Amino acid sequence: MNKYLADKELRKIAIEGLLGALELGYDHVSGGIVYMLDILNMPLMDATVTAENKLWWPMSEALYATVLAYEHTNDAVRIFQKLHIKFIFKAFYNWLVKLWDCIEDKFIDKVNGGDWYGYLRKDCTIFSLLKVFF
Amino acid sequence: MIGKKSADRRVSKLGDVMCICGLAVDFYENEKDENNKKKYIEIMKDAAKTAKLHYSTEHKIFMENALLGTGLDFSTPTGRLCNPGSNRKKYFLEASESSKINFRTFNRSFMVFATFE
Repeated sequence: MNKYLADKELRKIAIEGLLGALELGYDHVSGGIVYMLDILNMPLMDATVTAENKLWWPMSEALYATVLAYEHTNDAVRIFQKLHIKFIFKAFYNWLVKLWDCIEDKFIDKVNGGDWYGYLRKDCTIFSLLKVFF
Repeated sequence: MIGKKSADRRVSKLGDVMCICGLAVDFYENEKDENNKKKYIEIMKDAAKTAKLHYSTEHKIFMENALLGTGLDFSTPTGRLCNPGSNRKKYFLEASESSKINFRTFNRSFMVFATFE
């Protein structure tokens, strides 16, 4: 492994912040991750189309970050065998499944080659036929 | 961006901090010169320090904008903005742990994950 910074606080808030972002930003009704929000639930200053839409790249970045976190906590479980780490590790696994299920179900055009739709509406219906190539 | 003067040292934007951190990680990996490697480590450290200003311990989430002097400010719309979708925390994880991912552990999504390397 390549170690860059021996910063335990950074690792802690990275893990905690990722879980916080997923729990706060994931739409449990329609699926997908909300692009931006006001932390105190006040009206957003930015009322552009992207504010409430579900975009492809937040989903892909969420996957990437969650895989990293899954790996990190998986290593920690193997090394330390601590219950609270096992709990977090399991949480990341559950998020991976949830994120991928949403991507597979809502974002991927399974009929025409498997590319992702770039932009969905808040209810996860297709907003634009624009594709992204993953 | 790296090594240049910052345009505004009063407000920190999380996107800038994370992009700098991500670039430093990538440049570090491809740098042969040990002195330059140290420079990228210092950039990562600086990014990590600045990023902590963005973290709300109350909400357990990184906010988009932070004041470099006093940290978070929830009294303005800009200060209350957060982008839960842009999981830039990945760069923290990369900087603090590892840039290598073992894709085999999650075979179900292997093809998707592989595109990110």
